Amino acid sequence: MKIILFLLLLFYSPALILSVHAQSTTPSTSPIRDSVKQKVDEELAQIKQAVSKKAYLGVISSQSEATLTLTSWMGQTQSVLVGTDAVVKLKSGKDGTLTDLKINDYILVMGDADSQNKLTAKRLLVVAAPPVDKRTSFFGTVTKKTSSSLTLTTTKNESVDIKLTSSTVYAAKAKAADVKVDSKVLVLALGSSSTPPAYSALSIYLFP
Amino acid sequence: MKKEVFLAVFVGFALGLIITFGIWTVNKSLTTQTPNTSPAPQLSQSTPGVIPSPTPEASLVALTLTNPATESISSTATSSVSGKTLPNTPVIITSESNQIITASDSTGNFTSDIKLEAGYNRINVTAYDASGNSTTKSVLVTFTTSKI
Repeated sequence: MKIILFLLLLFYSPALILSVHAQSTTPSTSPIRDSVKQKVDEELAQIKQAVSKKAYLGVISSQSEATLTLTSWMGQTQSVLVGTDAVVKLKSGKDGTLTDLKINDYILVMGDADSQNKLTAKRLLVVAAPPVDKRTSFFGTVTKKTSSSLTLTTTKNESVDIKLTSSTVYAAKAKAADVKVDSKVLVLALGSSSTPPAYSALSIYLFP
Repeated sequence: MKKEVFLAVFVGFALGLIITFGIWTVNKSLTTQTPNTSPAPQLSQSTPGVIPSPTPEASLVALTLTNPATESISSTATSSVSGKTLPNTPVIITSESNQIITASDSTGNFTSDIKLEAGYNRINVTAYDASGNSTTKSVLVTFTTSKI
């Protein structure tokens, strides 16, 4: 029995020696540990960054079981996974389910997006299609000014009449009186639905 | 008895070798993964938070948006819009129901707060140069107080 123990100790000695050596070299292996720690931290940061709260706005272009494909308002194709815990709100404000969603429905969907921008929906709202923005900007030189309107000649050599209202805002501390004939201005105006549209100024920037 | 001793010795020797080999392998693999202290070459560099234009276009006026991030969710009814363009030029910022004309400073930086409506807000930022050329970038910000 003693012989067996002696022999076992003898043959395990290389392992013991190596493990002692590994422990004794701890200070020199700290860069390794640091590099491993750094890698882990980087991976964690990437995972944290990879999963982010996002919201997509778009029209449903295809639907299969729990996955929706959207064509976003900017024309991109986006994928949305709708879990059973996702809240679906219909246009009427009532709660709905995935089966209530139809192709060509406009939806605003909020949830967790992964690094591939695939969104896992938490809240999904059916909304009306976004309205067309009737605001437009004009860059040009003032050719005529009254207390209630401006006439501009734009860079395309077009003449535009723009109504001034009490809610017209003058940017960069300018005042209505500062805008004169030959002033170079940038006007953000709201167009009416008439043809041709009539414009009323929302905001005016006067070039120095 | 001799047979048992021989067997014990053999098994002990085999186990010892396996453990030794295991330790040696781990030690070697860790040593080869020691990081190079010289800086790694940068293949490309991008500014964090800079939002690319949704559709590539020939930009006449340089414009980068640093905030807000597109498709982000805001829990407050205002959003700070900031970025960089040409120095001392006007920038129009519009959201669903609000609009601002601001101007960049002498270094081209601009920042302005814009009101958000509950739900989605398409924020368009248009920068102009002194000749009337412009570049527009758009982001989507959703304002909700619901927990997502």
